[in-house]
Amino acid sequence: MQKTNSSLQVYSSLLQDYLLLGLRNRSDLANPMLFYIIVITMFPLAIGPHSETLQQLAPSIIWVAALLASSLSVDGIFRSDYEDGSLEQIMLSPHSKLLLISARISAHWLLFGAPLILIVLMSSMLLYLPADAMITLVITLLLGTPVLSLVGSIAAALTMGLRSSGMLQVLLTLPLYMPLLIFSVAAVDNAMKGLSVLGELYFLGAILVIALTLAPFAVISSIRIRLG
Amino acid sequence: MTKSSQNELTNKHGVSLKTRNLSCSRNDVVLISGLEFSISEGQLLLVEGPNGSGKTTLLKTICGLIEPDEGEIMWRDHHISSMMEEYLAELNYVGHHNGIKLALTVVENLKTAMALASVNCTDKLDPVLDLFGLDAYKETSAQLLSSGLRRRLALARLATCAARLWVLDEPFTSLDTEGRYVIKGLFQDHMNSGGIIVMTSHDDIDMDGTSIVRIHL
Repeated sequence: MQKTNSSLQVYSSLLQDYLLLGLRNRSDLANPMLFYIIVITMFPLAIGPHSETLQQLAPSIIWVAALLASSLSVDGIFRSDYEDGSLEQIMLSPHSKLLLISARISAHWLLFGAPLILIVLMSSMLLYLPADAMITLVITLLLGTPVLSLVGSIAAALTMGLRSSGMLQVLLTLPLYMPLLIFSVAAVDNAMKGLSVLGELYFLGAILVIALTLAPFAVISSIRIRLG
Repeated sequence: MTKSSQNELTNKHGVSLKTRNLSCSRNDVVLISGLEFSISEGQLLLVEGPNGSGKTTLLKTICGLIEPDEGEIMWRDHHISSMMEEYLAELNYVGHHNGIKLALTVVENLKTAMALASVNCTDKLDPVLDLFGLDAYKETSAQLLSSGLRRRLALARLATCAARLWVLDEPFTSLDTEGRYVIKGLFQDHMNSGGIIVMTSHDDIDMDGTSIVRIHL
């Protein structure tokens, strides 16, 4: 008896596999989160328990730590797939490459971005972030963390198999994250001051739409370049 | 190309793989120049040559992973780039790397391979696992398998999905005598049913009644 797979079945099957792989390699999952927590913990120790200073800097500290933690986590998006030959199998699948690569990026967000939002919420108390700004912070993270996965996956695809790929990825991704940092921090700052945050959130939404529509194409082209 | 036109193609044209004036290079070094061959159903193309002569590059070019510098690759008398989706649906590639995830079990790896393939996959894994001597390792993580068993797992993909063209890079690496016997039997069955195999091997391929075309790079 033989069967045919639909594209959505393939997407969900791959996504399930990647989530399973992520949960089985727990250290890869935990390291960026631990890094984030350590960075956040350093600021109250370095600045001292001055709640006003920490509160003022909280949005910047949270977002910079999140960007750095993301740079650590994107290193592994395609590395093992490239090394064990499974990326070749994906590129030789007759199914839409966009869909298959999207499964990989979605898995990265579910394993890195979603848990990061929870950890940010818990750790923001260390920086005396007011409750009013918390909702805005969560919205900026919901809009921003998928962009981290999407843009990070382009750099990961471009540098897989290269020596010092981790450092190259950081150098490639951090400048691209700057608009995200600027609008996210501005939104949380405005929320703390009781000002409107809609403008910044619209910009973040636009950045997410651009990343969602363009990044998968860039990732596929980068993979083709590296495999070829 | 639509599915119906592809079916028409399948009926009108016999299964064949051809190259015309194929040239490939890696890192600015020309490895293959002006290569021409033609194989049809039931034939095995054995690519021979010393290390670094471009065997793997040729296989990857045939799969469409590498763009050739010049020349054409024709499947069913059509340029592969004009029918890539249909071509990939008929292709099964086992490269130098096994293409398996070490953190997944044997069954999970085969299910992933079946999901990635487009059509014609079996829904019964037990006979495949039995054939490749993997039935005792169904739920074993691939990282706990020996390199020979990992290679068997990679090659088991060939039996799960009925692709017409098999492209294999050193398939016998790490296999024991029994494993080689099983794989050769599988090759024989594939070619008897009208399939085509393109492979590299440093081992002597001796299969009775098999039409082997050899090219030396």
